[in-house]
Amino acid sequence: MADTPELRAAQLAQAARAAARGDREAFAVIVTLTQPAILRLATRVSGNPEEGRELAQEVYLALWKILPRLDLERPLMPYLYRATVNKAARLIRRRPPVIAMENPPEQAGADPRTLMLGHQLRRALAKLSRKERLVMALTALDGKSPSEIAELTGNSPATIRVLLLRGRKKMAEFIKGPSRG
Amino acid sequence: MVDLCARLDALIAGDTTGAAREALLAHAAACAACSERLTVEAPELLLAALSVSIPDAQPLEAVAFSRALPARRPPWFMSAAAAAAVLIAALLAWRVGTPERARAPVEIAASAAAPAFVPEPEPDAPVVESGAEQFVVREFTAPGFDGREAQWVVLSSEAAVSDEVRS
Repeated sequence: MADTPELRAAQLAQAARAAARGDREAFAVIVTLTQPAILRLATRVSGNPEEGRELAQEVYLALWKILPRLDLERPLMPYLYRATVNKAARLIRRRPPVIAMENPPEQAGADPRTLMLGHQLRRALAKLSRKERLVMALTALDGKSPSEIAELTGNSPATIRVLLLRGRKKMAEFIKGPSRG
Repeated sequence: MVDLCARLDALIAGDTTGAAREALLAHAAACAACSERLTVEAPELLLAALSVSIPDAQPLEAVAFSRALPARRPPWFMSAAAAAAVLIAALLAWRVGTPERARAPVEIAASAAAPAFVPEPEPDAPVVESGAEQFVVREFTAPGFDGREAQWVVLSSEAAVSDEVRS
């Protein structure tokens, strides 16, 4: 559907303007163009595909509601990334601090210590400030470079590096802390 | 054979991308030494390493999902809802606040700040119970903390006038 990043961005902007006016077919175009990235991020931040899918649905529902009030001169992807990471953090903070005895099927064979560590790391990520959390999630879970994140968020690469270092330190302290999680 | 442990620095510094990064993450998830190091130096990469094996979620049916979205409320609805909320809050504040303001000021104080001029309790002063303890209720008028006349209600235990002062 989209051949180059520029064409894809133009398509997305056009679809966003139409969807803001209530065009559902245009909204379907937004979902089609953006969902590979959003689903991947949502799945990795939440830790399982089912929750990732639910998160993505929540993100798109929120986008549908807010579209008429969004500044559509600005790119849509940063909004979607922020919404995904923040909704995931809320979900993780609501989770009980222990893992259910019955793990999801995709984790059935996983080592319990690995599962617990993943759980703790997600809780640590959820504890960060919104900006730190976004930078950490996009860097680690989406593989974006500081300059790519800088472009997405409108910050300088130096700011992104500072947020990354601060986030790392906070997460490491959380993991080291006395049996939290 | 490539020593993946030796390339962890590149991963931490963000100098690897694409398939090479995925391979390093997969290695780090399985390697105790690398996991240990990432826990301290870059916990987010350890999370990424543990997430590599999570299968992708099923894509949404974009068209069906978009058709099923709820109808949007018109923009004026939000302003009207906000205005109504403010009006209700103002009405509530007025209803609740007015009788309060109409009364003489009532001082609310912590035990340490109880006035030294608390009078002796009346013989028929009411007694309230809280758990195993009993408190004598004394009502009187005296200067408040701002010097103006105020209505005091003091609950005092037998020991001292020190337990609680509230309206």
